[in-house]
Amino acid sequence: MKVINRFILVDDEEANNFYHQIVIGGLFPEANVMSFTDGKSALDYLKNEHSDYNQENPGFKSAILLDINMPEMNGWEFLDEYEGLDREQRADYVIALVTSSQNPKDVEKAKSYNLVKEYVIKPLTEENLKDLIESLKK
Amino acid sequence: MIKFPAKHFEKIFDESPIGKAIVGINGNWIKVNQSLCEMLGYDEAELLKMSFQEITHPDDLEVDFKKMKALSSGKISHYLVEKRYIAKSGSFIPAFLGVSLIKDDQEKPLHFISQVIDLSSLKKKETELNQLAEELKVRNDDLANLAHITSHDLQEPIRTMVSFTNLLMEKKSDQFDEVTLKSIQFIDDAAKHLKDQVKGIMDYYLLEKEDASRNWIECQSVVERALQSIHALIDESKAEISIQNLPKIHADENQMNILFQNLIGNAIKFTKEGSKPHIVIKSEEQATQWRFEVIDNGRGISDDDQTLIFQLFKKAAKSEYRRGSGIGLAHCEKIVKNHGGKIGVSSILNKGSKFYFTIKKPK
Repeated sequence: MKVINRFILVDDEEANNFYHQIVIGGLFPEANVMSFTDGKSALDYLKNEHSDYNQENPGFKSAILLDINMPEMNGWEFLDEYEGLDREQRADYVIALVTSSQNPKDVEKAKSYNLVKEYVIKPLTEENLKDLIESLKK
Repeated sequence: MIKFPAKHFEKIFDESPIGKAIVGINGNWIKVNQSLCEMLGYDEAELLKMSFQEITHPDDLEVDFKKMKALSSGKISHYLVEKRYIAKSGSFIPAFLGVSLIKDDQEKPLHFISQVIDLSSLKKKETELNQLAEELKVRNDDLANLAHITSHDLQEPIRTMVSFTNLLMEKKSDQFDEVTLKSIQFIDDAAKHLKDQVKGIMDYYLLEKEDASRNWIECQSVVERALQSIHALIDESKAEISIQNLPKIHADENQMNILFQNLIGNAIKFTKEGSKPHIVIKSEEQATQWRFEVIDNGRGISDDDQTLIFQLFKKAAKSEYRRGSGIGLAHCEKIVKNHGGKIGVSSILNKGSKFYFTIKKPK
């Protein structure tokens, strides 16, 4: 399996992005982490810049960690637009960040999305990040 | 007019689900139907040997007598009372009794017609409902108490967090790397947000417990004080606020202050990107109430959100102002209801919103 060396964080809480960046940095010190506090700017990045990155880094993969519960554009609305992107504009994996206690239905819905490879119950920790990478290898 | 055979009327008497009887002037049962017998647990023969006085709850006799007297003397044409009968088993039967009088050709009273509805099942339900209402009241009080106690208890650890983050940032900031400093800043922000939230819950429940203490107050000065409390927000946003001749009203000063703070604060917070908030506060005296309007040129509220925003802890779906507690407008609605008024909003997206509320005048 190719190594994931780019993580794209989409979460409206800046504190979460900051924290997740530290967790990811602990496990993948080499990885490049980008963070966005709303779906729109993440989509803009993917549309305009991400394909260049893919071409420049052929040996690597990228993953989006997508918060579901966001104002303006929530995770599902993000995915609806993401679906329309070209293959090279997309990341290799989309991982949904869900808060099971707030809305148990989100877990079910995350599972039902073809685009969503895995889901992680918040908060992301080194432990569940490891598990996540393991299950992506399968 | 259609003439009904007499046996139809007999049937109405005999087979009625309502207890019916012909009662003598002295109170003795002359004729009783099956329903009445079943209700009281006596058979017909037994009842006919008795008088209504013998099977009426002693406490209810006097009312019955008085009414019978008034009926016999022609003061009233009929009467309806709630009373208790004593069944053969000795238990009391709550009942609704209607009595009218039959007179002879010389207007001399002949006998009474009594109709009796068994209220046992209704009374049982009423008791159950009263018990439920009582339980509900106890639970509500518990809940309000719980909210109050927890809010109080939560304030202490929050204060501790804020004190220490302040200490770290002020005194030791040169010793920390960027990640640590930023982490402390996030803790500080979160703690302050939590503090607002907890205070909001507490205020909301305090409002629930306290009745409005109304006095005659000058709205002009109430609004000025409210503006003073949120002056930081006003200065930062450079908001222009015009107040148009406000009346003297009969209301709770403290609650009115909170109400104006929230409405004006919202009008400033939800401003349109790149435009200066302009807010108008005006009022109109009407026959039974005062009507106030707080009008802004902000970003407006969608139709869907207009109903949502007054609910406790609900925020507009697309709200960018995520730090809101979701309590403010719920609070406002409660205050307005305390004053016998109504609160509402009309709004056009990207044009602005107009919040209005009314305060009932004293009688």
